[in-house]
Amino acid sequence: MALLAPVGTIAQPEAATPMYYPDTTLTMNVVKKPLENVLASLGKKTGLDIHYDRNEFNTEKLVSINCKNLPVKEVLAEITDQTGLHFELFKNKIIVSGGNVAPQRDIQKVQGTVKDSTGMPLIGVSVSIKGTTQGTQTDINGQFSLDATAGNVLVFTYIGYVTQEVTVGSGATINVVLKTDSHSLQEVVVTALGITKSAASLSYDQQTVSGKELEVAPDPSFVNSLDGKVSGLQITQSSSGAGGSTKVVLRGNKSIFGSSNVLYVVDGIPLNPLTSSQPNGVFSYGADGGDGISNINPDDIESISVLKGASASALYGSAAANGVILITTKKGKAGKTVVTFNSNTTFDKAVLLPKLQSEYGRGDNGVTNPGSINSYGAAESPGTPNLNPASFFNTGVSAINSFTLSTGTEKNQTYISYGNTHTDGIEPGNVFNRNNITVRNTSKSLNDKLTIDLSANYIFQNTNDRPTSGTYFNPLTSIYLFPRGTDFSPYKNYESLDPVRNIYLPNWITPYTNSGSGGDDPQNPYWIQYKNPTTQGLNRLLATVLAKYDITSWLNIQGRVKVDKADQTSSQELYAGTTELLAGPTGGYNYSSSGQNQVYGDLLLNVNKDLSGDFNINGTLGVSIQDNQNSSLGFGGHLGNIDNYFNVGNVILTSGNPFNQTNKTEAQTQSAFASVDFGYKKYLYLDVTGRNDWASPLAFTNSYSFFYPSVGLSDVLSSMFKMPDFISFSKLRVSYTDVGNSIPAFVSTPAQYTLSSGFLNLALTQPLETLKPEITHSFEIGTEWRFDHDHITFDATYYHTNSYNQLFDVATSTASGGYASQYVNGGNVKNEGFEGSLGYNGNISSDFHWTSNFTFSLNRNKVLALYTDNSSGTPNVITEFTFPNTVNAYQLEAVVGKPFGEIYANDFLRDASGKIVVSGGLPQLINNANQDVDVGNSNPNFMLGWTNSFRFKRFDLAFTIDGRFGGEVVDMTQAYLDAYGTSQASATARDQGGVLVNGTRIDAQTYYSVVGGRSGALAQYAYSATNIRLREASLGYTIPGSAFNNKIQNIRIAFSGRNLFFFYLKAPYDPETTLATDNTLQGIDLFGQPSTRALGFSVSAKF
Amino acid sequence: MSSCTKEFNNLNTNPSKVTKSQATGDLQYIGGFFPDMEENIFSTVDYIYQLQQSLNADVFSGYEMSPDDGFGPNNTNYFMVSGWNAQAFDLGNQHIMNNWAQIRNLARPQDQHFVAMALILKVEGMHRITDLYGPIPYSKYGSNAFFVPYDSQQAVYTRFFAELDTAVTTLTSYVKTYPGAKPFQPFDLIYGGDYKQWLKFANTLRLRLAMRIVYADPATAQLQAEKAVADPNGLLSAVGDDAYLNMVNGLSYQNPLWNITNAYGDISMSAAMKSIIEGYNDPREAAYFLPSAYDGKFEGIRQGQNITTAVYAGFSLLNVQSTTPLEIMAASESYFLRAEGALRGWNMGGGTAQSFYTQGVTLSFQEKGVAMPAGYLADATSTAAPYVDPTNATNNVPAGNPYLNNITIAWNPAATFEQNLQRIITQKWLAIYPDGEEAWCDFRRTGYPKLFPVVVNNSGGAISTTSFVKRIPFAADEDANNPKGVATGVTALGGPDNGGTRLWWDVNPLVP
Repeated sequence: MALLAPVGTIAQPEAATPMYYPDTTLTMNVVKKPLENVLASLGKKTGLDIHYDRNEFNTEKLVSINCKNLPVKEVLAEITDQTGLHFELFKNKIIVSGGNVAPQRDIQKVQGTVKDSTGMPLIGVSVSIKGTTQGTQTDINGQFSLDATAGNVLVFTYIGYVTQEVTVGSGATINVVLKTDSHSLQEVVVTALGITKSAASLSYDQQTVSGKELEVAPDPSFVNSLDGKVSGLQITQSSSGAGGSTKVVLRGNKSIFGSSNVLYVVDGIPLNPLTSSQPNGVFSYGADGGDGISNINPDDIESISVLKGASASALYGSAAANGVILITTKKGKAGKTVVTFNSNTTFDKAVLLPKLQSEYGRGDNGVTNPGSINSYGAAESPGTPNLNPASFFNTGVSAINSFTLSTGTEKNQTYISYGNTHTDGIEPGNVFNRNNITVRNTSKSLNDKLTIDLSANYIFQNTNDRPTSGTYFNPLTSIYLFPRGTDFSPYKNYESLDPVRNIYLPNWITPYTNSGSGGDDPQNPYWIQYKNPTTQGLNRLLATVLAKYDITSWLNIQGRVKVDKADQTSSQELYAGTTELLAGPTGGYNYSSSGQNQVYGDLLLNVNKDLSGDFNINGTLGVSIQDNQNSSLGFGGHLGNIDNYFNVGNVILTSGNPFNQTNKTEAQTQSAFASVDFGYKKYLYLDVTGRNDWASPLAFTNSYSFFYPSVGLSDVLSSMFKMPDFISFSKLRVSYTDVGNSIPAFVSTPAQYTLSSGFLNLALTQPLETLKPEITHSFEIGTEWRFDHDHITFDATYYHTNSYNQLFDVATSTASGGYASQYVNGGNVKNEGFEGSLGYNGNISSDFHWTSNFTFSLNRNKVLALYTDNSSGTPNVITEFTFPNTVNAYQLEAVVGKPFGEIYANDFLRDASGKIVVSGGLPQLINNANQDVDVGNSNPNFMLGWTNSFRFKRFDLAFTIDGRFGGEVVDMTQAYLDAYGTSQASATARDQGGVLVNGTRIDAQTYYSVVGGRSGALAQYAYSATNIRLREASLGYTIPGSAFNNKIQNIRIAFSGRNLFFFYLKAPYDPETTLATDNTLQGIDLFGQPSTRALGFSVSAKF
Repeated sequence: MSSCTKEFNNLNTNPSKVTKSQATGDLQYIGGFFPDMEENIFSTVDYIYQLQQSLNADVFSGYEMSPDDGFGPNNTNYFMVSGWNAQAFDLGNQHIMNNWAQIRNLARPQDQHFVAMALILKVEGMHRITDLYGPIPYSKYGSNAFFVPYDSQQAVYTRFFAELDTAVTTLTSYVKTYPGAKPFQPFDLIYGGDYKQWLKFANTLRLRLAMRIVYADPATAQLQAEKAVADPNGLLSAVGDDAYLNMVNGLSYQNPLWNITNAYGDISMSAAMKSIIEGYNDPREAAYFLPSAYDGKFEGIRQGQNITTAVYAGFSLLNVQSTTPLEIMAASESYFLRAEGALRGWNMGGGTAQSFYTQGVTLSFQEKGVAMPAGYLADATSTAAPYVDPTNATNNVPAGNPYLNNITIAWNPAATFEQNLQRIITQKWLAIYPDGEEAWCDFRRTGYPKLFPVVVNNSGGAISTTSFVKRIPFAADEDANNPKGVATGVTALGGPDNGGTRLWWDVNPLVP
């Protein structure tokens, strides 16, 4: 910068405002006036002193300014454009410098093409002149053109690519090749708390997925789109339709009593998981209510990073022990206003329906009996109608429509979006509707030192008749068990007017219509859908305020507050005529509402400084507070005198299995933490973190404070040593992390009593004041390599975790004090595994580009110890823990020496020689839950994923194949169908004259009455969960803006499909769906909604 | 940091639950535990009642049978379902023992009358548990440990009598000191807090327990029985003395049997019941059951079948309304107990076996609101009727079958001891319906009334078809949660832990 020598200073004695305010604006209209005059006029209007050296530039250059209320900075930028002069604002001074360049610089047209490293033109690259608001974007051919002067710096920015700056020289053409930034050494990644770090410094495995990759075949819950794309990520969807919960586990299950689900973090702040109650048994009154992550609008997502290990725990706290999915949402961008419109429509078809027989009609023991509920009757005569279960399912239609708008200046950017997801499910009456509104504003002020980021998301969604599992309120039970050889058509009209009661009552086959029929009391499936309707509503507001102030170039302070307020309602209306097992004679009504509020606040001090030539330090010091308040209010019971009037005033709150209750919990965690990276020569990094939590659920225990540290080392070998040319990058990393985890609220609170109908009752779990937080030790070592100019990438990680002091709710003898259980700390669950990926990214020909990524992960899980009870003098080693919500014939257990999540099931009673014991003509079963047999594990041994995307001219094609190997599931649905005789298996058995037991045939109905059903030999219904499928595929075509006279930038049209077909599958249902996403009903199907194949098309337009 | 966390104790106290200090008003912190005890002698919750007794004792007593075709092998055909048979055990511990322990621990010196009440309810609740399983954890209850030892049934009964001694002494003296005082009224769902009624209840309970052990320890049985009768507070003896779980003090419930028989369709009249009550032309049949949907007549189901189809779905349901209060103890029971005592030659307070028998039958009709037919008590010819299963003749029990209850109604002083005992117990069986647990105890103790053996026996040899089921196995969750405790229980039981091992008091040589 030139100094102020013999200067022409335009002083402004009359200036009223001595200080420069960044928002000072100016109105001016001059045409071709000498520069010096214009500057004088500007100084007069703003009260600013303008300093310059007349020798440095041509003060007589003619400039034109026409502006109204434009900030001074922008007016100066305009002058820069016309003169090439630089202006610096300093307090109340403007310092003008022109450098030693020629005073006159002419504006010239600069044009060129932007391509990626593979030679493909990049469309929509933002090209701007540094320090100005001027800019443009590349067109469909990757070309741009704009006016600039020599010496201007052009900035090329494009999502997913490294920003590049090119100084305009004398030439008029500038061609640029942008490098993809996911593989760049200079790559900056968003890590915990939104802190950006150099990728090279990460000592743990972090994998990034761009928003684009999620769009291949969108799912209403975006997290389902991650399947197969990230190594080590195990996704299990609940069989509850659109908007349902998803179980997402990284590197294996760790927590026995708590959750092993990943933590979602949106823009640096943990998202309230909003876990909902899960189906919990054979009868299962409750459907899944969705989870917090399913509420997010996928179109708001810019990118996703997956932190697989526990390394982010120091910054996010305990919940990060299971890994983190970091979601970065879109912001407004400086430059041209961009409007996009995306529309995606998919059609869902039920697949993997059970195979039903059409040979034998209604009856028992081969004899027709119109009063039977079974299908073990005589052989059907030709032409007998048989219900095809597929006829019950509709083609589901899912429409995801979204609109986004991004606009802004260098100082202020705004992003607005609206998204609507509407799904008509495959079960009639199932409708899911979600609306997302997002507004975000990012602005800079105080000389660009202060950044304010405000965002608000409002979500409102409604779900009608969310598919459930179990036998009650589940239309599938009625469809699958409907007697074969019986005409279903009279029951499609599910109700008719009862002249005596003067209300509509269900049409249904006898004897189901008689209450007290025994069996499983299936109702008319349409009656269930339309006259036992459930509705779930959600209103959720997330609001965030962030303020960041740059104290110096290497030190900033940042504060954030986020409020997440979710109100949910759930109601079930049971019309009169509903089976009396489930409702009163005039009907029934269940209603609950709940509020889940989370307030999060933090304050961070960030340092990023080069200490000397070789050393740098990047650190964060912070404090945070998180407060969760949950409350609920619910009531339910049979209706009073008024038929079908669903109101609390008409509910008999003491009838049926009534409930009326309020619940309230609050938990608060206060934390202080520090994270410091020491870098040496930009290739060796040491990362040390520490966090201390003070958690309110630990009140009444010895201490509510606990500390957990981590340490990591990262070494970029390719920068440290000279490597052969074909190795473009190589890195080695190792890290060790401890994570503590508090206990749930109230478990340590001294004895309290529940109130039931106004009477005191004992709480069923004994409070203990000796509890401690859980602790997980994890270690990982990994390496990353890139070859051939980053065209080939490879990474691999080995990890090992041990989780100790796990909290168990252990059943005790009820005689030990009336409690059914007590909490203990104990256990050691080990997970170790290996995961890796191999990728290719390059050109096949100049028009043909191919990206391919192969992921592999293997997890070995073992329960090493549960707990030892020393209360009775001699140590009592407990080696088995049964998860709650076991159902007849099935239980999920943690057993010492076995992997977590072992499935135990009822089986045949066998004699010493292994023969099935037959007594009275019946095969005998064990029928003792304590002696159930181990049929396998609910988790896979290893998983593979392979994603591919091809670009040929304007066509793009992408697909994902993934596979899970190992693990078992049991199918209780099949057991039911066999017991009722509707399954093909039961007909085949009859065709063969019975089922072979010890070499003798036993009559099929006799056999299946014992072996099938809800309490039969479920072990006989165990299947391998191994499956390989074409997860998703899409074919797209981009129409250039030129086809529309450049009125719009482009339009992409695509056809896509999800869950297209299985290359391999042994189980009769989709083993990657689950009844519940908690640790309970894993690896079992019980009339869950079948998996669906989705085919769809999408249109996205960018303006 | 301590100032930031000072609210933690408050935050971590569940506002949806009641703390001790919140319950001090109106003595709720003691008295508040009584309703839960009284509500769980017979559970008011249908699915709990079903496992507590409907699908074991109510069937084993010969009263009822399940028409449900979805159960598979189960208790009713002697496949003892471990998942079902834990319910009664847990209910007793969680709702009887625990509340008693709370009251005992919290009571001040002036609250001893509450402790006395808790003891009466504890003995009433827990004798129903030991009579199902035999040995139970009793004296070592509440150790808060993972190992809780079991007491032998004899030790449990010895404790029962001692506890009743304490209770009766305390309440007698309280009533003398504070005549008319009713501190228990706000917490009592049975007798409105009237301690005089509770003293009658305690005496009748003592008489019941004394008679239970008559074959195992005749001396103690006579001693305790005579003590019960001699107590000046008296026995339950009139309609107004019947113990019902009343809908008072805010209690509102539906009779669990109403849902079990109607909505669940899981319990109906049994074949033995139809045989005996119709053989006597006893009009109480219509008070107890409903005509069947099957043929408009009363139809009962033979016990011990493999029911795989819905053929019995229309058979006679129980005649119970949702508003019918649960009967805890019928006053008429005391007369049948005294009749048996008098038959045994004990001093039952100046009556004869015949006079007590007559009073018992007469009171039972009054209790059920049914007019006793003229000549009912003089009927010297009617005995149990042969049973015909209209859906399956293999279940029939034809005339002359030794399992038909071959006793008449009319008292016959010339009849043998056993004949008159059979007569007393048969009428007692009809009077105390639907208390299947008490009726099953009498059947195991005396062999009366004669019941039909199971058609299908799925016990794998553990239970003899001709000797009938003797107990239910220890709770399955105890096997998992208190294995060492169960081991002490098996030792005390003195036989294998299955349905065929007889309890301590079940030693009548005439019972097979």
